[in-house]
Amino acid sequence: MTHKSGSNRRQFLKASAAAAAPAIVPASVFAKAGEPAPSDRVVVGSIGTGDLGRRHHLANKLLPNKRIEMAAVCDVDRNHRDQAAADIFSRTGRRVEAYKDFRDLCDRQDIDAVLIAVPDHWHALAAIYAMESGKDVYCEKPLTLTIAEGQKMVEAARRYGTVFQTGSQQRSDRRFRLACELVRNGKIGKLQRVDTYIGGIDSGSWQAPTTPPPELDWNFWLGPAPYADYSPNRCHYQFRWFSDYSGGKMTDWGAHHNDIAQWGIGADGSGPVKVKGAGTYHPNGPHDVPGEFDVQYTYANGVELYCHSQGENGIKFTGSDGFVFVSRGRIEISVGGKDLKEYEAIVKEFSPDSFATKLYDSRDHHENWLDCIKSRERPICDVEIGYRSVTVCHLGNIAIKLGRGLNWSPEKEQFVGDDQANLLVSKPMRAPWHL
Amino acid sequence: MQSVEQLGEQLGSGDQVKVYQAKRELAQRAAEAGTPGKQAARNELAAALAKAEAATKPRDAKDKAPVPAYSAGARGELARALSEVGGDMEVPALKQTLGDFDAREMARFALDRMTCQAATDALAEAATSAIGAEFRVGAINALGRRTGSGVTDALKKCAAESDPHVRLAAAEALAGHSDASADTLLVEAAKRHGHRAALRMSKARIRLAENLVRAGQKDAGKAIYQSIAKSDALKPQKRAAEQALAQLG
Repeated sequence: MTHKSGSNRRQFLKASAAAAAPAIVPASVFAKAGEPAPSDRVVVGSIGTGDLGRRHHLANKLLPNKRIEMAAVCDVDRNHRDQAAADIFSRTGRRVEAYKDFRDLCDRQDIDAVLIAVPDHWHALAAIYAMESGKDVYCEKPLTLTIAEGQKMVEAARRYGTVFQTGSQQRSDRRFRLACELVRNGKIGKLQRVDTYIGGIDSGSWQAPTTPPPELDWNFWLGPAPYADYSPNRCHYQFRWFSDYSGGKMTDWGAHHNDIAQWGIGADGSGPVKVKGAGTYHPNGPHDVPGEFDVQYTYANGVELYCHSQGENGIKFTGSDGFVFVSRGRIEISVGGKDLKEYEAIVKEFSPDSFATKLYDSRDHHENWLDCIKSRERPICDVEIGYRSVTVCHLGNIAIKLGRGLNWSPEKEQFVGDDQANLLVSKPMRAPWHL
Repeated sequence: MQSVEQLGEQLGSGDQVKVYQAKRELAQRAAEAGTPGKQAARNELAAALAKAEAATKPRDAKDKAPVPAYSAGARGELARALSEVGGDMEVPALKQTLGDFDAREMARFALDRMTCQAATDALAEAATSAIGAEFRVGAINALGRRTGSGVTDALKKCAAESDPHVRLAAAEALAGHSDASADTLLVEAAKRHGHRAALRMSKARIRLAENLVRAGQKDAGKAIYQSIAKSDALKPQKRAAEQALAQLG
């Protein structure tokens, strides 16, 4: 059955229901008990159905959600897209189209929104195309491969009024929000420094270039990135450790923890003004992103952010009176002689309901996105927030690469007094792709 | 520290570890040379990279023209390093590589990154007269993000061509500038090349209108938005145009 566009279908169904009275209206028009009516569901296409797109988003978030109707999947790996379509059929009994080219999916007028879980070097192009096609977007982090891409994504989102959620789901985790509210409400005194611990990477192993497997369109996978011969270690999942496709651990986990740092500092919509860092690159490759690193950022309000590859994964906010440490599954505060390590105990002690500064309260990242699609409000990780957070990571990688301290203007979104650094704000793209 | 020539040899060695190590050394040297205040070091490295990029060696047969001294892959990496330190003086070496089908894409990448006028001129020349639509589209896309003399003239020339890939790319690239006359080209291109092209041009018109407003040409931008709002463009573009008109008042 060919669907009309989402809103036309809703209008059509409403008009049909009225005009056909007292004719019999199909039961499928109406909601089943406890479920949204078909006309209230968000019709979603999934772009990128590899491990994260299929096993996490599709299986755990999209298919179980009664507010979503899955309409299509897309992946340049035929096995990935067919498997995702099979998952949808198995779960819902519906056959959906499986595209190789995200543009074909986005050109469908019946699709309202897309979830993008492709490699980093594709995020901007796919998201911008989707936005220009009128879709709301959920895009995985790290939002971009370069700073310039983020600027273009924000422009497109504002131009088209897109509801754009960045996949930094820690902001929808109560521990991280509590930690940031404690900080923003002065419960550890004046914030002095933030430490993020995000892990490093190993060197990887060399593999000889080989023929891509028949199910993978390697040239399309590369897309805007410079041509490189295929080897499995460049591709699915492992792309994170190659600078032509991603920013390594700095963006992979930095996009999570530096995002929380920005939230706690109160720097959403802005960023640091200085950055300097040191890192090591593996001497023999193949991974060409920093393996271990320490980067220091300075914000205009004097707060220092230190991003480390070593240390217990998480974020530590240190103030004049104490500290808060938060990670997935753990929160700890030490202040005024008290050391509390349980969420409920901290809530009981500090009563966050009474805080003057309340942060955006989202209990579920995907539900928040769906709520905002309906309300047209900005979601908790709006595109600008995602862009600014990943920019912190890109600044770190650039500082490591150049081996010197850099000054950054968050207002002008460029380096100050370093034209070579400004060259690294963007990367050229292979034709036909462009921002 | 190895010479640039030695690094060029290493880049073409075919040994993955040696190639990686050469790339790392080049990246490190480019970073050091690019430090503000070290112009002499930067010039020296840029000149060495350009010399290697353009270097040739004789062929075995005496009556044959010389060939590049380094492999296409090696020259690609030399170009990548050159893009971070090079300027007007080094563009001729990259222009030479533009003439080599096996290596020209990375030379184009390098020119794309360089901000000097000579790089702009080289890209304009590639856009208007290189062989191969796909390669020309890469140069055209690069011009879409550049300012400088000759850019819009080159794009308009390409937008008048019959090859649809070149024509559409050039029309789209013009939307990245603030020349109101580009709208006529976008509208024409939309009519000639089918639905997908019409969609591309419609999106480009929205961007052009925004750029015109940003450049202080509010009336010209509004005229485009009004035209889109009244047209049979798809809903997202019409909505974007209406939203912009509401904001402009």
